[in-house]
Amino acid sequence: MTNPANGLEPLFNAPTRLQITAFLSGVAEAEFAVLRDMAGVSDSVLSKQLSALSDVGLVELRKSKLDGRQRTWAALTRKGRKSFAAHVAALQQLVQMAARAAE
Amino acid sequence: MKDETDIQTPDEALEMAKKSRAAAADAGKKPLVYHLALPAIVGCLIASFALRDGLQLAVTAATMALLALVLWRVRKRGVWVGNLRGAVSYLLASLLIVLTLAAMFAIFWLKRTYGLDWPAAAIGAALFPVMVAMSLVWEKLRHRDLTGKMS
Repeated sequence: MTNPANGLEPLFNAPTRLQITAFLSGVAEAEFAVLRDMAGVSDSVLSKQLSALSDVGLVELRKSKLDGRQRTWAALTRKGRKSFAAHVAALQQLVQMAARAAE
Repeated sequence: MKDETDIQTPDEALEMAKKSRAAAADAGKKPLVYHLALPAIVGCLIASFALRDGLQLAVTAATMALLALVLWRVRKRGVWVGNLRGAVSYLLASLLIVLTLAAMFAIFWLKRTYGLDWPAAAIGAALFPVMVAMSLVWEKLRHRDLTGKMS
C-alpha cells in the first residue's frame, strides 16, 4: 500500500484553501465575490489565500471588466486539479485506514 | 469568521470539500430560460438557412447578438461552467456536435440536390427539443457528479 501522506498537498490543510479548491474543481472559473461568499471570509483573507494558491501554480487568476467594474476570476490549473484529486484520494485512504484500525 | 489555521481531521476535510463541491454544483445551476435560450438560438441559426441571403444574414446577426446576451447574463452570475465532466458528459457533447453537423450536411445536400429550403426550418425546429433535453440532462449529470462520491 502506498503512503497516503504522499498525496497530501500541505497547502490544502488550511480549510479556506481547501474550500476554494474544492469549489473550483466543480467549475471552470469563479468570480472573487462568489468564492468569498461561499467560503464566508473577508476580501483580504480570500485575497491572501488565492495568492498562496496562485504562487505555487495551483490556481490561475485573471482580471476582466464586466459592467464597467474590474473583477477577478479564479480557476484551477491542470496542476491544481491533479493536486486536489490526489489530496482527496489521500484523505479517503487515511479515513479507510483509521476505520480499519478501529475495527 | 473561520480561523484559517483550523486543524481538521481527514473526515472533516473530506466533508468540507464535499460541501464546497455541492455549493459549486448549485452555483453553476442555470435557470430554465438558459436551457431554452441556447437551443432556440442554435435552432434559429440552422433554420435561417431556409431564408434568402439578406434575411439569413439578419437572422444570423440577431442570433449572434442574442448568444452574446445570454453568455453575458451567465457570466454576471460569477460562475462559469465550461468544463465537461465525466465520460457521459463527453458522450452527450459529442452526440450534440455529430447531430448538428449531420443536420447541416443534410440541409446543404437537400438544397443543392433538390433545391429545397424548408428542411432547414424543419431540422432547426426538430433540433430544439433535442438540445433542450440534452442541456437539462447534462446539468443533471453535472449536479450528480459534484454531489456524489468524490474520486
